[in-house]
Amino acid sequence: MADARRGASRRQFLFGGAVAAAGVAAGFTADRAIVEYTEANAPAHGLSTVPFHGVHQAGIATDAQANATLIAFDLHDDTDREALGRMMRILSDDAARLTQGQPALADTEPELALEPARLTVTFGFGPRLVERAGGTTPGWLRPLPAFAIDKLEARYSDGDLLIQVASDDATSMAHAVRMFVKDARGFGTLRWQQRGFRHAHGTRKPGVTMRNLFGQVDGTTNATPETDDFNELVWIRDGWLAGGTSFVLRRIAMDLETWDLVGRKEREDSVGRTLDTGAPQTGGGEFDEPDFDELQPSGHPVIARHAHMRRARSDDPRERFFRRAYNYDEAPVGEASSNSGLLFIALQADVDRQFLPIQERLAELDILNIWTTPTGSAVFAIPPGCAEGGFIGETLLG
Amino acid sequence: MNKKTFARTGALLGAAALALTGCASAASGDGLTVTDPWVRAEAGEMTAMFGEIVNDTGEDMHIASIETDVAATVEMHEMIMGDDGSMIMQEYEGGFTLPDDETFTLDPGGNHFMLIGLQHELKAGEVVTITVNFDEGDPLVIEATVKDFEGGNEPYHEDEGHGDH
Repeated sequence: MADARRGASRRQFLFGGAVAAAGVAAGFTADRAIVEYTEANAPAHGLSTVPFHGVHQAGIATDAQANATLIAFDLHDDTDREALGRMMRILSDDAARLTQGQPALADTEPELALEPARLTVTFGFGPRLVERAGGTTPGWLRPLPAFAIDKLEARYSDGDLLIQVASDDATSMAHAVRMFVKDARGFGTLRWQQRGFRHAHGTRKPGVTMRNLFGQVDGTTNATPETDDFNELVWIRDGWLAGGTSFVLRRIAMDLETWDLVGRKEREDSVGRTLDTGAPQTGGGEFDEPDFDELQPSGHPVIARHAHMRRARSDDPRERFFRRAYNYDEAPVGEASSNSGLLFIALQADVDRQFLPIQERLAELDILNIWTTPTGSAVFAIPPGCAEGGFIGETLLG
Repeated sequence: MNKKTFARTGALLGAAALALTGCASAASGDGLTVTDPWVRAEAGEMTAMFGEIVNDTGEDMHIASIETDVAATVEMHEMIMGDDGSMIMQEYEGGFTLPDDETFTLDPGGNHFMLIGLQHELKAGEVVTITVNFDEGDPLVIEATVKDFEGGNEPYHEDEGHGDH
């Protein structure tokens, strides 16, 4: 849906149903009996679809789905420009079908493809892929500089090809991920897979700001998709990436053990927002502007100098990006009793101009650094979308 | 079956340059349409094509022969149960007939077009042109996408199930 924030579930249902019916009429490999079984058993939302074809790739401006799996591949040594073209044609074809609720070509579990639940698939290219393709590598397409706060692990970092698979249904998403792994492994080796979640579909109204596992309202000041502000911040204007963007992943471990030791007031001070509504500590509601100059009777600022919100803001309005974060919560390792955090995803037209200045400020001073540790980092170029009959990456590989 | 000798030209056919067409299928021929044609990627001598052919011509269509630039020969194969209860494949006597107003399915574990004596390695993402000739009427030209497929333990892989015909 172009604007899922309106939450027109009936409209989504009708649209999704129409697509499924069209698939039957065209005689797609899925058995008619399978489709009928699915339509009889799937509630409306399972059949909701987000268009795959378009000027931009889906999964960027799309209202974030409940689940996301990020997979990254290292290209085989012999995957050259010609092979990259074949790879992206195959993967784009898979994505075009699966996102519309149709089995991929040669899908061995076609029943799992029929309830996409707003499935989107977003492809990103790392520096080595662009180099192999003989394309122009943007200056920002490289690993971020090392920060003192980082404890990066290779198993969460870098890669040549990124596939972001997101859906409101984890089962449908897992099937799509499996299909991409099967179709990409002839061209590369799976480097890492990272899984994240937000509130389940239906738990909250669409568009309500998510909470992270520290309990914080997370992502309040995000630009609104399809506004001039969003378009200006996110989409690249020139070259083979025109209509695309850049994707920064920061895997941020959040130490729930030490966070437990922090009182509620101190927790609010760490960000500069209240925990109940996410409003600035200087008053108002979640979306009201903070007053960074307001002082307590003691003379100290109401929003502390080290507060995350103050540090994350630049005086330069161009130093902003779009966030599309997911929580993660995995099995604790060793002596630890928690293994939780955030897949922090930042999208912007230019990493160096928009993201890096903020990251540098936060690495220099942000009280949240006490409880958070970046453990993974990756930068990808997100090519523009494609029209029907085209493929993602055609502006580089076509 | 006699083992065919085949030249390894090493040159990729231009077919690889053809774009996939999203969800659309490749088809031609009056009243005959093909949906989702694909060929299993293969570095050895033989592989198979799958897909669905819908016959809306108004009459049964009997396949006389099948040809492709990428293989020495193309045979029509069916899967039958062998004496020991396992499924084996064999050439279909007399060739397939596509019944009028029906969908003829070629799938792993069932009927398929067997490509024998591959001219070069068929790599995922290539597009292979396969021409189906009928007793009467225009041929059906199929543009099939090559896909990696491990394949449900079906005997389409090299040196399996082909020893005795």
